[in-house]
This record gives sequence, C-alpha cells and structure tokens, in this order.
Amino acid sequence: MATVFNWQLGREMEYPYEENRPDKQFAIAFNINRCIGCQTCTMACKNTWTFSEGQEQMWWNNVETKPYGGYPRHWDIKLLNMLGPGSWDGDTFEGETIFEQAPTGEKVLGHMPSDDDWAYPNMYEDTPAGSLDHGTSLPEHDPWMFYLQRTCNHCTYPGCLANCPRQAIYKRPEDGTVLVDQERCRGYRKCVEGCPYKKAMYRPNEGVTEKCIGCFPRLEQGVGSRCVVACVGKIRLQGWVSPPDEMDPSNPMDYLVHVAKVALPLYPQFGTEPNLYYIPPRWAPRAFLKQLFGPGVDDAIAAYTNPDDTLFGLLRLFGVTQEIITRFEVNDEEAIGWNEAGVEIARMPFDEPIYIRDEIDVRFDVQRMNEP
Amino acid sequence: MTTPLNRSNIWRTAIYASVALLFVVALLVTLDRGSMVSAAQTDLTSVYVNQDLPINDASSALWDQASESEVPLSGQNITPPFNVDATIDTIRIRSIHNGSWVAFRMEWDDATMNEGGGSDDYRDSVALQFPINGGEPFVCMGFVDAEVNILHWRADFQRVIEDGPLSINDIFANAKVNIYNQADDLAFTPAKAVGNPIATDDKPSAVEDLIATGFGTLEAQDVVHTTGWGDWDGDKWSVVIARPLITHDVQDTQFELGSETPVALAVWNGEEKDVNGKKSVSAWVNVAVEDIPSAASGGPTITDGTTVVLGSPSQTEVVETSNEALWALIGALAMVVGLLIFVPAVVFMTNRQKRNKTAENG
Repeated sequence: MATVFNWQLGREMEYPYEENRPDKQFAIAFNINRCIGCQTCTMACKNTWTFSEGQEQMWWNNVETKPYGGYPRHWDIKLLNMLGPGSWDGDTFEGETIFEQAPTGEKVLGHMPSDDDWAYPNMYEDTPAGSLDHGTSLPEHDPWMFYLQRTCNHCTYPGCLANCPRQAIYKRPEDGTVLVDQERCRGYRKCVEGCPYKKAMYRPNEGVTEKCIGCFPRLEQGVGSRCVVACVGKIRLQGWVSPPDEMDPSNPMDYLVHVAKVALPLYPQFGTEPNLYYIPPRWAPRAFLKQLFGPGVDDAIAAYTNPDDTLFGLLRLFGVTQEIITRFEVNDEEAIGWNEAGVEIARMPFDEPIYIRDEIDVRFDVQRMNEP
Repeated sequence: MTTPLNRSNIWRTAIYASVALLFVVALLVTLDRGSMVSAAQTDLTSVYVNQDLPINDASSALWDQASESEVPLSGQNITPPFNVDATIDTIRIRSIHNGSWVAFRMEWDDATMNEGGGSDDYRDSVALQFPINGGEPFVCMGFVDAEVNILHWRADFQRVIEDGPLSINDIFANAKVNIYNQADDLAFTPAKAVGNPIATDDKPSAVEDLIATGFGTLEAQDVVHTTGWGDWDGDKWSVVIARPLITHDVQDTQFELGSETPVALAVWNGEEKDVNGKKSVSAWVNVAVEDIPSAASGGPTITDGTTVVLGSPSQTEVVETSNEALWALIGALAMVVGLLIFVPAVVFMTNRQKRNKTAENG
C-alpha cells in the first residue's frame, strides 16, 4: 500500500499504487436542480456503446431516483452499510475508505451485485420519501425525491483499478479516463466488486468486463461525451478538473469545484476521488445530501441559491455547445467560452434580446401570429 | 550377568544393528511422505501404457493402471484476492503416458457443478503447473526468469464448446430482445475483436495453455498444446488434462521419459465464488514419467499419427534419459557395496582394538 493525497478527504490515505495524476482529468458537472429524469442521456449512451448482445443489462449512464432508486439495486446502501459510519472534522474525513477497510484477502471493500440487481435499472422511479398530504416549500420539501445522474467517475484512485489482480485496468494520462484492456481482461470481475459506484460491468457472452469509456474518441476531438451533449435539460457541463493546488479560476470546472465550491463529488468518503461533480438539489434534506456529497452541501446550496456574477454566468454555459469549454469569462452582459485551441465556441447573453414587430406584415398583408 | 562379546557375537550384533538402522530410516522416510507433500521424492508416477490415451474419458479403465496420489490443498493466502481456508481440501491425481502423450486425471469432491454464466456466477476449474526450465520456481505462479507452464481446464470453456456462447436467455430464460443492431460487426464485441481467448467463441480446447512469471503475469500462449475434458457425477469432478510429452514449444514444459518434474495443483470451486487467487493450491509434487519398458520400446504408439503432428521425443532424448537412470542405478549399487564393506571393516577394527586391550590387560 502507498500513501496518497485525496483532496476530497482533506487527508492522505492508503492506496495500492502511488499517486499518479493524469495530464488532464475527465470531469462532468451536473446541476441536479434542473434534471427532469427524461433519460435522454441514458439512451444516447445505450445507443452508442451498449446495444449489443451480452450488454442487455449494461447502462453505463443511468439516472436513478433518490432516495430509494439505485442501479444496480441498492448499490450504495449496501456499501454504506459495509463501511459503517464515518464523520467529518470540517473538510477532513475521519472515517475509513474502501481501501482502508479492505477485509483479509482483499484489496478493496466491495460487494458483488447479482444478475437480478442489474435487471431493474430504474426501480423506484419518481418514488418520493413520504406522502403528499399537505403543501410543501423550501428549504426542505416533504415529501421529496430527486434524480441522480450517474456514469463512471473516472476516479483519481479507482477502486476497479486497485482491485484488478492483473493490471488489466489503466488510467489514461492524456485525459484521465479509466479503461479496461479488452485483450488483458480475464473476467475475474474483481473490478465489478471493487468499484464502489458499480460502473464496471460483466459481459457474460464474452466473459470479460466492460465499462464506461468516457467517450474518449470524442474527447480526443475536443467534443463532449454523448450523455453530456445529448442532455435536453442542459444540466451537464464537461471539462477538465485540476487538483486544488493547480486550479485555474478561468477553467469552468475548476471554478465550479474549487472557487464557487458549488459542485460536489458523489460519496467522497469511499476514497476514490471521483470526478463527477453535482450541484445538490436545494429541496432535499441536508443530512441525506451530506451522506451523498460530503460536508460542503450547505455552502454549495447557498452558492447556487445566490450565485455571484461569475457563477451566474457560468451556469448559463451548461449545455450550450457540443465542444468542451476549457476557458470562460463573464462580463456584465454575457458569458463567453473558448475551446482548448482558443477558439470562441459559446457566447450566452444574460438577457435575451427582445424584438418588437409590427402587428401587420406588409409584405404579405397578413396579421402576424406570436411566432418567430 | 553379561555375556562376554566374542568374535561371532560382535558380527551378529553389527548386522542386527545395521538392519535395525535401515528399518528406522525407511520408517521415518515413509512417515515423512505420508504427512507432508515434498518434492524430494517421487509422489506420482506417470505409468506407461501401450495404447491411445483416454484424453476425453475420465472413467476409462486405463486409469486403473496408474496408482492414485492424494494431494492435500490449502487456501492460497499470499496475495489478494484469497481465501484463508481451502474450499476444496484434497485432490486425487493419476497419470499415464504412451510415449508420445501424457495425461493426468484429477478427481475432487464437489457437490455443485458451476459453469459460470451470469455476472455473479463463477466456474469450477482445475490447473496443473509445471516449471518450464526445471528446478522448483516459486510455487505461486513462478517468478521472473523462472517461468511456469499452466494447463487450466475450465468448466466454462467446456460449456462453450458443448453449447456455444452464452446468450441472455441462459441467464434470464424469458428475456426477449427484438434486434441486435450491427450484430456481425466485431467492433461491438471488442474482446473478441482483439482475440482475447477468454472471449472467443471458437475455443481450441477446454484447457488453457498458459505461461506465468509471478502473480498477475498470466498470459495465454498463442498455440494451445493441451486438451482435456471433465465429467461431474453429482458428487465429484473427474477431469482429464492431456498433452504431448514433447511439444517443441519454448513456453511449454517438456516431459522426457524417465525424468521427474515438479507439478503443483490448483482447484477453483465456483459455488464458493472462487476465481483468480481465490483457489485451493498444493505444494510442489514430484511426478516421474516412467520410462518405456525395454520390451515395449519402439512399439506402435511411439510412431503413431498423433506424434507426427505435435512432436515426439527424439531418440537422443530417450537415450539421455536412459543414461541418467543407469547412472542412478550404478550410484545406488555403489552405495550398497560401500556400506557392505564399511560396516564389517568398522566392526573388525573395533574387535581388534578390544582384543589388543584385553591382551594388554592380561
């Protein structure tokens, strides 16, 4: 075991391999507040990567309804029960990670879902906690539910990679995506067991494991992953996240995660340093949210509820382009995004211009309807 | 009252003492062999049979010609993942050869048959491990510059050979899928596309021919020189693993007639979720490949069609192994002769000294 630094835990931790951060780290930010659970992301992924025989149970992207939903079934509750309680002292996690609690004979604490667990990807869809017999209002709704968008977290310290006994899983230095070498995998499924998010999946007709590849062929072109660009609710923003000591406020992902601290990692206490970041839903019970997203929940909701000008502008850049915005700027009127080559790829005004047209179109001598 | 030692008494005592000493040594060696597996002596003999080998038939009467060795197993517990305790405690092994092929039959008690399948189903399997370049490498998967050749029979491979690759209906009998788009495009079965032998539908054998140089280094060889078949009778597995004695493949162990080589066994119990390092393993066991009796040498099996395809022991190699056996016999005879001269000589000298003493005292 090596000792590595996990900034999400605010401390060093045990990991089977030395700290080795990629040149760029894949990341997606999700604004949970805006998700309508339409599953367009899910189908975009399915139709791109997992439509073949042997992949019937695979949903590299899924959207589940919290608090009860989960794909595979109860993936997180099972692991939380195995881990036991762990508390935070400020931003420092005082509990033990899945690596630090590995049982005898294992490198990682994990569990193995059954075929049935994989077979109901949207169980408890739209099922709220409690029942509606009265009106409800912020800050916490009663009853409540929200959609949780999930893909592979392309973790900095992946549980799947740690648990593979033959190093068939690797993290690409150029973009930080975590991939299964399809030539080297022998189908032991230790990655399925070791991934706390259960995003490594067994393909029975090939006897090997497959997983979300982050749409790396698209990343190589500077284009976002399918699930990101297909989002009709424009709740997703893709980018590259830096560790806090190298963060750049002009990088949209760094601004969300490190400056505004409005987007939080999912289950940071697992210890893998996951790289999907969520703006928590304003209406859900804070204790539940803290279990999912760690101690930064209150500040994140406050920042989202009353955003500063830069964050206000940045939130408008979600979902406006298929390309990956690597630099952004916000002025009094608009938010502007550039790609890696320095080309402007998005310009979003805060106020949309209003055009007032005459009631009669003199060219055709007709009355205009309220349409463009 | 003591009987004075005269000359004949001393001789008789010396002979009795020698016999008793030999008896005690033989007893200790026997007890030692019974209590622990050691590569210091022959634990298993691959018996010569002058017939085609039952490479797919674990119940053939030919197996009765070889004596059975029972090998104790323990949990692999050096590197994760592992089971602290063995899930299979013991395995029984026999071996026969016909001068061109060698076959091993393993039997172990297993009340459940597991062929793999769904995402949480694991297969039963058994493996034989041999050093490639002699000696006794690290028993757990070998070591750098001390490669091991592993022959791994798998119930899931055998299932694919028998029934074809798994489909969704093998896992969920009532599942219905309307269409698989671009089903013939290999790009969408990437493990098959890159030729991963775990994934390919056309299995050359139910037995993998593997090479390893330590934990996590296991590689499938390009050419598979082994075959075999397993039968499960409701209580136990009986599995045959066979291959040519000589394959002329540098990644394979070569078995020369009259020679000995260590073998280590491993068994996986799918019911207990055994996979990878979660296995029950033995220490090194010595297997002797019996030389062909002189009356049978040059018999039909040496020159049968099978050996032409996959290689047969060359005449030189057979002669070499015969020489080794001859030298071993000469050495053993020399030891016996030496003992026969040395013991009486010591006794004679002792007797003479005593007589001299008596003469001085007198």
